[in-house]
Amino acid sequence: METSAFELLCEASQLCFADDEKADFMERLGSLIKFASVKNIDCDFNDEETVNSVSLGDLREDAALPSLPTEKLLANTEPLFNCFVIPKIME
Amino acid sequence: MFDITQETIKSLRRRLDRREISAEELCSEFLKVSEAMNPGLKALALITGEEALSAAKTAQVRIDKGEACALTGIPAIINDNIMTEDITTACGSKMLADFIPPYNAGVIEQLKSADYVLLGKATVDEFGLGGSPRSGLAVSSGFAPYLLGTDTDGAIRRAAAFYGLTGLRPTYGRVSRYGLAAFASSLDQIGPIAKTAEDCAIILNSISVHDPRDAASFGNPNNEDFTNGINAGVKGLKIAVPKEFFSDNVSDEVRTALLEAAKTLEKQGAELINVSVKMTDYAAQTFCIISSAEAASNLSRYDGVNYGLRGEGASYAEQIVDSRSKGFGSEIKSRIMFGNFVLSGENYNDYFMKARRLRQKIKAEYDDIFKNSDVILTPAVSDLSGKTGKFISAEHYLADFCTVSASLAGLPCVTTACGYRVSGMPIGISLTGKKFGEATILQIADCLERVFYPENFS
Repeated sequence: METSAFELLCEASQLCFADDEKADFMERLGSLIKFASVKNIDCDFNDEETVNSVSLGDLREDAALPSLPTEKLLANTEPLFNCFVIPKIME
Repeated sequence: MFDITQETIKSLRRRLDRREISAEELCSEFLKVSEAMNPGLKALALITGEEALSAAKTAQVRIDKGEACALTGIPAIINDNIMTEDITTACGSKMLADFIPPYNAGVIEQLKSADYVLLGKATVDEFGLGGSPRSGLAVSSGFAPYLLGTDTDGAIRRAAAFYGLTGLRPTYGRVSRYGLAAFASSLDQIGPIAKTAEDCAIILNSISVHDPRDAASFGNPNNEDFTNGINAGVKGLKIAVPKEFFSDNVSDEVRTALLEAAKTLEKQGAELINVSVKMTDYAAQTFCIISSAEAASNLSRYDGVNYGLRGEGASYAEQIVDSRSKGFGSEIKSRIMFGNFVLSGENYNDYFMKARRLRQKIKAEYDDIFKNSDVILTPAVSDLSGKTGKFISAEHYLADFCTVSASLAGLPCVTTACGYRVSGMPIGISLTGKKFGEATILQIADCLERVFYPENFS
């Protein structure tokens, strides 16, 4: 795997790696890509004629349900004066 | 005092109902086992002693009223990637190390309505990506008579095979996935690990309930009793034996033991049918592509903003990258990267769409076999390599070929043991059934258990 392709995948995955980790992860990815190379497998299956293998039940009614308790939701956030601290989004 | 570590759900139910032991005493005895052995085994990420004793007290009130159901007062271990309200659920990840869910998973609601007793959370590999079979350790060591685990690539079945237990992956949709930390949504499923097929049937009766919060949930619309086939024999059942599963991927001793087990079933009145499933050759690759793509999508929610480990950075984007890079382990990072690779524009058709077609083809092959058979008998795990959780090369994913086909096809599959290797390790056997055919595969697993381990049924 080329370094430029690896960097693009890092960006898409929102991950970064230290310089000493990069070689290992590039090798892992290369190994996975080689292993999972299925494009040349002859598969003349027409998936448009077959229902999806994952079947869905009835979707629930689109109705408002009670919210989860605020104090329980905030219990997993960074506490500051009983507020939910979010990162600065607008630069 | 009897040895609680050898008891099944069925036998404990009898003892509780006959007042041979109270729910609190039972809970205390199991806690003693966990507290003594867990520091060495590390099978549990968390022991919930106080909550367990309180739940046991409530259960005893119900038992005393004569209103107990099958799991009332019976202690259980739950995988640490299934949400338990107010109890830390870390999913084996640094990302969620201190996460306390504000709600219960659908299966936990069902168990709580039965007044079960939660003894602790089982250690899992990160987000349940089933590298090691450790989840079975808690049951095999006698921490509890059963565990609710999760099965994406075969973790439940691999654990059962490794520890000589019975593990059931139910049909996709049979059990609600609401509250299971999603890894690969079209493949994830919750199921039991217990000592017998009958215990798995008892648990499935309690947790197979339609849940509108899981769009794929069907539950048990016909109110089927999964224990109906227990001790009913196998007369008249048609068992398919696919030759591809008995090639060089399994050792001679395993092949011999499995074929002997098949012959045993034939002697009991079942009919054996030789079949072929050619697409199995590509199951591991297909699974790798689809599960990684779904994982890349599911795990994108962990950005350190709403919950989870929060990293540092001069900008919002840098903070997210830092959170994810510090929070995820290396195997998860590899899967996310690979998932984004197969979903990227230039690779989408060659990898992801091709894998979807292969998945349909695998399912179509299974459907063809089930036109003339009731179940498919295979080894539980291959002998290609033991999964250690340590990345050696992508080739080690090939070892999953025995388990991932049923996952891809969304079919129920039970694993039990049919003897021992020379090394003393159990030999696992798997039975894959038709969609919603859990009762039949449990019936056959029960028959095998009665033949190979008659001492458990005396």
